[in-house]
Amino acid sequence: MASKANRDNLQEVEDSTDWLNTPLAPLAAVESALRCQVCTEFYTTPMITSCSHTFCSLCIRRCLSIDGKCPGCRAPDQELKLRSNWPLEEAVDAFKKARSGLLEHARKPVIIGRSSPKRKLDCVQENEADDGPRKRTRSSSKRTATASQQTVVVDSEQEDEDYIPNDGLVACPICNGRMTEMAIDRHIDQCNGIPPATSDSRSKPRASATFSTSSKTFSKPERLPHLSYSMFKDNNLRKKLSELGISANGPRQLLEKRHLEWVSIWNANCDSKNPRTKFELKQELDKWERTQGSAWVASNSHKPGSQLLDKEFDGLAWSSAHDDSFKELIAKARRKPPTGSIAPPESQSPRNAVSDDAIVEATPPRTTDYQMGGYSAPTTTLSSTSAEQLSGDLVAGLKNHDLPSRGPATADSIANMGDVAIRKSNMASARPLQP
Amino acid sequence: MNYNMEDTQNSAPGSLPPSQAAKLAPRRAPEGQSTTKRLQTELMQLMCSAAPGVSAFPVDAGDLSIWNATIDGPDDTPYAGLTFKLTFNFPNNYPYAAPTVLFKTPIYHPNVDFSGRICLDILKDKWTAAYNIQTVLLSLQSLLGEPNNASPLNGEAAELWDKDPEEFKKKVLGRHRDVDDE
Repeated sequence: MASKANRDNLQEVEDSTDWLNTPLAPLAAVESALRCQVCTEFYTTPMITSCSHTFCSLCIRRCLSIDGKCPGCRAPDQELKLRSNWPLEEAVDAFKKARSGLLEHARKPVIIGRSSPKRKLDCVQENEADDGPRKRTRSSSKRTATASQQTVVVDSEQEDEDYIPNDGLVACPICNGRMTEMAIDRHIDQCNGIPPATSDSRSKPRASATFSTSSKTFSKPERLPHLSYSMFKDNNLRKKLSELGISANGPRQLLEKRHLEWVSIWNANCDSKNPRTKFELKQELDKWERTQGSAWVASNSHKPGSQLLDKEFDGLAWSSAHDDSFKELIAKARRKPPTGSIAPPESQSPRNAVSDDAIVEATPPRTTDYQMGGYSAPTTTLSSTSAEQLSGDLVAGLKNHDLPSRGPATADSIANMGDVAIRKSNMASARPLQP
Repeated sequence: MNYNMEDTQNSAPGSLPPSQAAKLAPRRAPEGQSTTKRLQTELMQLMCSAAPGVSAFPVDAGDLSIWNATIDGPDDTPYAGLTFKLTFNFPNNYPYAAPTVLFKTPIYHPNVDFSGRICLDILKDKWTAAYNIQTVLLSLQSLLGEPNNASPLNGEAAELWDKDPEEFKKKVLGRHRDVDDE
């Protein structure tokens, strides 16, 4: 029942498996090669990394902004080093154009499949109202069973171009080269199957595509720099977001996530051959907000596990907030020899208010118990603690742990808490810190 | 089984938020829903050309964020002939974050604890967006035959693996039992 409904949805999903079970099954591999490994869609503005992997501009920018590593090989890389992969983009565009026609062709029984490209071509010819030698060749091939050679020629033309240019020329039935009616009779007598280079219909759209590319590169918007968020106080960050023209509401961590996403969207658009308008980009950000931004806030406040995996996981605040449960676990571990099954740090454990003392004294909980639970001890943030970072962490930490306990947060309450947090963090950073 | 955790991400099929309801529409998912789109493509791949010995399918037609999966124990390992059920829980920023993967079938293994949690680097800090369900399942399958005994969740199993393979196998069979689908 469930599977049936899913199957119905999936009928509409285009992917490389469409080619399986057709005579063109090898194209499945071709199509997978033209799809991004991250989003599994056809490459959009493909970019090549320093380690020579290719991803959509937006996909690789998102990845690099999360952990600075190539998703293909985990080699460290930077957004600045990304370069456009134009030839691949052309290949993708060409394949996308050819795809539906090819697939239709591949899915039809063989005999019917042969006739469809010809019907199209015949229509065009009749419009031309032309009784030249070319029409006779085509219409005779429609009826003769032995005309398989010519049918193959028609098919390959279908793959290259869907249309016949209305240029007053006629195509040679052998080599497909286009020339005037006057010249064709003489040409057919000596045709060797290779079309004359100048009249190749394929050369035209290709040349124009490259031309438009180079002409558009000049009017590109500036790329946005990444911010090191720990250097920004709440209000400054909000100001920054407003300057960029995007929403400045929400808790601190959401602001950072939103800015990160906006930089990725914006810079990916800068890479694009056909940049979209700022309005369209904002709509994309709205989508992100609906599907991930708001959901992220909700899920993060409920799921301790996912938080631990976050790169910007705030180990300091976490360890101070869960100080009691850690101590409890340590005590338990000392009481009895470790067994295999351990309860994870519980989310409903009493959240003690983040006091200044707790922060200075907080130590990374390192017990066998803790490691055996499958969680990594949040030690890294602690070791590199500077006064500046500590204040930033405190702000984030306060919001993180105060929010859920106060029920649904309104914009007002968040803003208030922001102020309180800043005052507290100023106090914290003013004090001399012990290592 | 306990699905409390998943409720934070997904409501019942009847009360889908607009963003999730959209993917039920007969037309293809609107652009921007990269997570849904990606999971749909992965499902297609798994249905049409799954690697031998692994399978995965969404629990609910209207919600692609929770999947059930199975892996067959590889031959020439203590797990040969056994089948293991797992659940995948996809965060809403998948594939930029790893799915949460749990063994539902009780398993005796150095890197899996008794509640089914798995210690595998690619599900934690080594995750990259280029991994997918199939690569995770294949990694887990190879983890069965090649446990990482240096960082065990189940210390006893890690010791027995080298010391006493026969006893290990006995423990594996003793712990294994089939679980029903909910």
